[in-house]
Amino acid sequence: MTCQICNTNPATIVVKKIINGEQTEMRLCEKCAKSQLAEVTSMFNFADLFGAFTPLNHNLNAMSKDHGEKNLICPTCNTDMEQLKKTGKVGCMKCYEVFGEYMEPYIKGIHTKTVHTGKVPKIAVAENENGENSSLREISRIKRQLEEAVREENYELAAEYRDLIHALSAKEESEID
Amino acid sequence: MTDKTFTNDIAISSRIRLARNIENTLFPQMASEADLTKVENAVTEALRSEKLAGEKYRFYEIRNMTETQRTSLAESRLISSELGKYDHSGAIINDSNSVSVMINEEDHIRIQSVKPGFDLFAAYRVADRIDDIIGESVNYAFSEKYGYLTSCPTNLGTGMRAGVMVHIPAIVMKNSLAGIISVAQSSGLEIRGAYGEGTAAMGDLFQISNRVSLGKSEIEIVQSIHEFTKEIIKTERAARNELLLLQEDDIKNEVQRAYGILTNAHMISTEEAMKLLSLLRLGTDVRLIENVSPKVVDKLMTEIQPATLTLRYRIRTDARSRDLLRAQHIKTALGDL
Ligand SMILES: [Zn+2]
Ligand SMILES: [Zn+2]
Repeated sequence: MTCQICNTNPATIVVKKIINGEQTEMRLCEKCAKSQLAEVTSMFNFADLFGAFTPLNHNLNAMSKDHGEKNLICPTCNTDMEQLKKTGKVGCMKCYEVFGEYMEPYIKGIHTKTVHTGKVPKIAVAENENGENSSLREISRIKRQLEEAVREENYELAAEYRDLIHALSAKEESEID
Repeated sequence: MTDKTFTNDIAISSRIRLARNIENTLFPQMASEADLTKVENAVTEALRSEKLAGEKYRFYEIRNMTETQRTSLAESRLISSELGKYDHSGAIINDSNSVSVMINEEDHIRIQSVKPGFDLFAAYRVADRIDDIIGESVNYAFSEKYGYLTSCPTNLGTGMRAGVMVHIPAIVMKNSLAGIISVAQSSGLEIRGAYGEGTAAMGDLFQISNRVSLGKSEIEIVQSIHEFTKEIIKTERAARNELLLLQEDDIKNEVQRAYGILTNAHMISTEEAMKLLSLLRLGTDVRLIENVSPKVVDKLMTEIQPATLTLRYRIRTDARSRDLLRAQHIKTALGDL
């Protein structure tokens, strides 16, 4: 579907508008959506704070298109691709390994990002203590403490956390390279 | 001055929900009866502990409840209307109704914590603690990459949905809601009717919540909703001031008529009552109505919902007798001051 304003770019964003009390939905390209929102955002100067648009392209049906129609089945719970597309839900934790490759664009479409940076259950922390990637975990842990410190307006502590994160990130990057 | 004392007129409640599943156990949708029983036992066992700091919790076995009892809990937002779809589903709810843990809903475990007013951080701290307590005796389904693994990919990552319920009649009257909905969308957030959907939301009550749960930390998500809500509150306050400045007589007229109907009607539908209660709430907030407490109005908005009303009075459940009862209930509540 092409953008309803410029009729050239593909529509990736749904904008809801109320005209004379009636709600209408417009499918727009990112550029036109931004100009549509410009008047609104001027009253909300904080819109940029939260980052860019989240594209609404999470269409499950598009999921397996590029990968042929091979009907994958999860050996653990017997959920197959067909079922996954129909319900939008996986049947068990192993499904994410089985269908992960195909779901990645869909997950990205929903969340924009595809890697968890939040809380980690105690068990996973313990298992990971000597394993790979533990510095990534550490970074996200300190990040949370940093946020907490900023919230409590403890800027001295926050600065310390920030430096720590910089140091760990540098280490992490050199390891990847 | 804290945010709380300043904002409770517009922010009604703050809510955190964490979705969790148990490792190596099929999700409820695919689980066997034995799996579901295992989950039920594991969660009740985890919460049976003395770690809950003396607070009393009640276990609600969904299969032993009537439709009305179930709907009433949903109207009070203690459970979702989806709970009960699978066998062995239940909810563990504390005495003050501020914490509820749903078992075998879409996910094995859904932890919910609610605080009155604008206090999302406090709600998160409680949910986080309950999560730790359950996590001590249960191994969660978790991956390095996707975080907490959930039945629906929309909940991946933190598994968290954080939300603030706001009462924004002036924004609705000024027709500025569409703009706010767009800004929310562009910020990875969502704003929708708390009762009913979209712009037809009953009682001008809206829920601001996150759409994105993966790739941001819990605190980041809470923070973004907190900031967004602050702007909504500012906008609503400005809209109220503008309305009072430009159309004081019209607003007074609307509010006093609402009070008149609520205290005199012989029959009233949920929809009409919600609309009038919203005006009354606005009236108490801006001091056009002095003899009604906003708390009473907030409570009424839940109490007049069909199943909750039915349950309270144990009557036949046709719409007509409910409308009679609803009018009666409102009159009593507003007169009881
Ligand atoms: Zn366009
Ligand atoms: Zn599976």
